[in-house]
Order: sequence, then structure tokens, then C-alpha cells
Amino acid sequence: MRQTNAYTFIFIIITAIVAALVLAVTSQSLKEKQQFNVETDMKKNILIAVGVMKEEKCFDNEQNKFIENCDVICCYKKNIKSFAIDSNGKVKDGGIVPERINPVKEMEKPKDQRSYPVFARKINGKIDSYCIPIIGKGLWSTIFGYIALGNDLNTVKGITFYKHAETPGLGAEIEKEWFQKNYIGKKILNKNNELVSITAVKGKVNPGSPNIEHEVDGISGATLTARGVNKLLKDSLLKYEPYFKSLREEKK
Amino acid sequence: MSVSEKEPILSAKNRKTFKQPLNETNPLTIQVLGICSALAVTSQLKPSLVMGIAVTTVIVFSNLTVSVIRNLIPNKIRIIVEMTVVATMVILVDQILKAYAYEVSKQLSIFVGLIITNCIVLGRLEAFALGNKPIPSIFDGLGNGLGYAFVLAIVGFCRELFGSGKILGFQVVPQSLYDAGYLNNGLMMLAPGAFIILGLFIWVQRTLNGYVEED
Repeated sequence: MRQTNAYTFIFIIITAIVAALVLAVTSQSLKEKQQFNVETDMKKNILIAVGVMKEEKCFDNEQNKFIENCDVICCYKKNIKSFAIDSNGKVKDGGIVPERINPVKEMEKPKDQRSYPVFARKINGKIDSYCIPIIGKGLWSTIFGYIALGNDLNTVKGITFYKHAETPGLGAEIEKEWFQKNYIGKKILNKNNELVSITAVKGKVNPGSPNIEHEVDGISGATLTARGVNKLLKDSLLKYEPYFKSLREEKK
Repeated sequence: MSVSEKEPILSAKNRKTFKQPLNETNPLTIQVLGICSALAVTSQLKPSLVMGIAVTTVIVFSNLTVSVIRNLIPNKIRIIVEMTVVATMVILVDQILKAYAYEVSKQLSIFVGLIITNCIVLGRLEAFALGNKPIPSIFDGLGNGLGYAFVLAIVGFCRELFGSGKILGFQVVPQSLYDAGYLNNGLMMLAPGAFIILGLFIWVQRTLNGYVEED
């Protein structure tokens, strides 16, 4: 029998090396394309959140309607100006590509070294709305999304959730238009300019509620997902609050 | 059979190897293997189709590779070697999907990676590729892969149709029907919906095949 221990060892080592080589070559040669896909997907979600992209069509400011022949890359270039800020709300400059910031990894760094990306929508060179990533735990999974605030840094312009693994038909409803639509026009600040964020309530919003500006309809059967969404929204907004506050002061 | 004896590629034996798993020994409905992925990815038709293609590709190439090196594999570590081959194939498929079909790969998420643990793949390697020549192994892989893909497509079709009124993302249930009070079946969007469809499918198949439960 030639199957000695030495043969077994040599065989498994060769197998491992061949497999590793094949995978390394593939991964290297496809890396660029994958990175491009990930970034395009991200940009698309930012565009949807700020409301300039609908059903693969891009909003054109000059023609004032959604046009066909402008893809995600073109649309993003036309409408979005991105930059990064630090924990104190100061704009960081030089060497940072905001699109490449991984918000999950940033949280592992010490507070004074973190960078937060901001994606601003510009119309004719002037900034019209601010889009920031919102990330946090739902019921089963980490939920990733974006929220866009209007020029007053108070009114919600749009919200998207693009990556999650919540229960299909229940928690997964957060990715549906009916749920996200409810956030549009809601306010994140109360009358004293304090951040109160927006809460998805149990059931429907009571039309007589004093907090109607800060509440949206919940999803029946998905209370825990909604609770997660409420928390992650507030936490994410809090991180940007120093920056938004300084912007609001400037505008006064 | 001596080595010099050449077998034609489409011999009766090879055809049988290919055809059998499509119906008589279907991995999903008869052997009841690979159920978890069949439940997880079939809420829509498109991911079901892609998953079917991905699994078929993995089975065919793993079968081929293992069959080619079957006389070299030390018996003691054959499962490890098989797993290495399968895992390599699966990661290749995953990488290619991420580069060329990003939207679908996002939908399939971890289930592409979980093909590694799909019992059908390892089952075919153990049961067939280890003891047969490369060409019959390819047929065996194709047959089993397509047998799996076919059932997945049917389940995906039913779930998308009844669960969201769409086929491949296009609305097929007319709005007038919704206005008349028709509702999408929410159960179809959840895993139990797939179980029910799979159960009905097995029933129909057994009736057609005249299957009788043995005592």
C-alpha cells in the first residue's frame, strides 16, 4: 500500500496549495469589479435616500424631471458632494475618500480618530440636503440604511434601508416604500431644538398625538425590528449632531 | 471492463445516470436532501434560478475534479479533500456572482457560501464521483444539479406568484383582482410556504410515478 502517512501529508499539502492559488488568483482578478459593484450599490442607495433616483432613473435639475440616460455613476457625480467630518463636527480634509469609509470599522477606533461620511446633495452648486448612513441592530441582523435631511437639518427628505436580514414579510417591511415614505416630512428636533429623532410607534400614529411630527406608523408583528430602527436612527443622528448643530448656527 | 474499451459519451448508461436524478432519485423530492437552501432562497423566482445554476455548477465541477483524482486520494482523508474541492468551487462561484451579478448575490447572501454544506454535493462525491470515471461523473452532477434546480424553480415560481403576485419581478396578478378583494398570501413569503409547496410537489410526483409506501 502506497498510502503511507507521508503520502497523505504530501497529498493534502499539495491540495491546499492548489486550492489557495486558484482562489487567490480569482480574488485578485475580480477584486476591482467587486469593489466597483459595492460602491455603485452604495451610491444608488444614497441617491434614493436624497430622492434623485427612482426606478433606475435620475432626476435632472435643469429639465426638472426623471431622465433615462444617466446611470448611477453619472447621477452621483452630478448631484452629490461628499466629505468626512470628525466626532466634534469639524470637516476633515485631505486623503479621505468618504465613499470608502466603513462605518462599522470606524466604531472600533478611539472616538477622536473616527471619521463620519456626509453625502450632500447640491443643486446648482448649493447644498440642498444632507445624507448620512444609519446603522444598527434590528431583531436578527444589523440594518444598514441612509437618511437624508433637508437644508434646515431638521426635516427628513428621505430614508432607505438597503441591507438587513429581518423576517421576510414582517421586519423586512422596513425596506418597502410604504414604510419609508412615512418618514418624509417628519422632524428630528422638538420645539426647543433638541434632538428627539423619529419613532416608529406600535400600530398607527394617533392623529391627535402631540408628537405627530416625530412619529411614523409601525409594522404590525415587527415591534422588535421597529424598536431597533428607532434606536439606530437616534444613535446615528446623535453622532452627527455636533456637525448639524454648527450648520444650524451658521444658518441663523 | 478493460481500460482500452471506449464508451461513447451518450451511451445508454450515461443517459440513465443523467436522467435518473431528474425524477426517480431526485435529490430534493425523493432523497430529501438540501432542503434548507430550498426553503431559504425560493421566495422569488430569480434567486431560485441563480441558486439552481450555482449548485449545478458546483456539483458538476466538484464531481469532475474528485473523479479525476479519485485514485490518488488517500482514503483516510477523503472527506477533507472533498470538502476542500467543494469549498474552492463554492468560493469561485460566490466571487464570480459578486463581480457579475451583484444584485442577485446580495439576495442570496450567505446561501451561496452554504452550498458547501449542501448534502447533495458531498453526497454525490461520496456516492458517485469516488467510484466512477470523469465523464459519467459529469453526467451524474448535471442530472442531480438540474433535478435540484428544477424543483427550486417550481417552488420559487409558486411562491413569487402567490406571495407577491409577480413573476421575475413583473406584476402578473392584475390590479383589478386586488380591487376585487384578492390578497397576496403572506405565508408564501415565509419558509413554511416552501414546505407546503414542496409537500404538494412530492405528492403529485409520487402519484404520477405510482409510488407505494413499503411496510
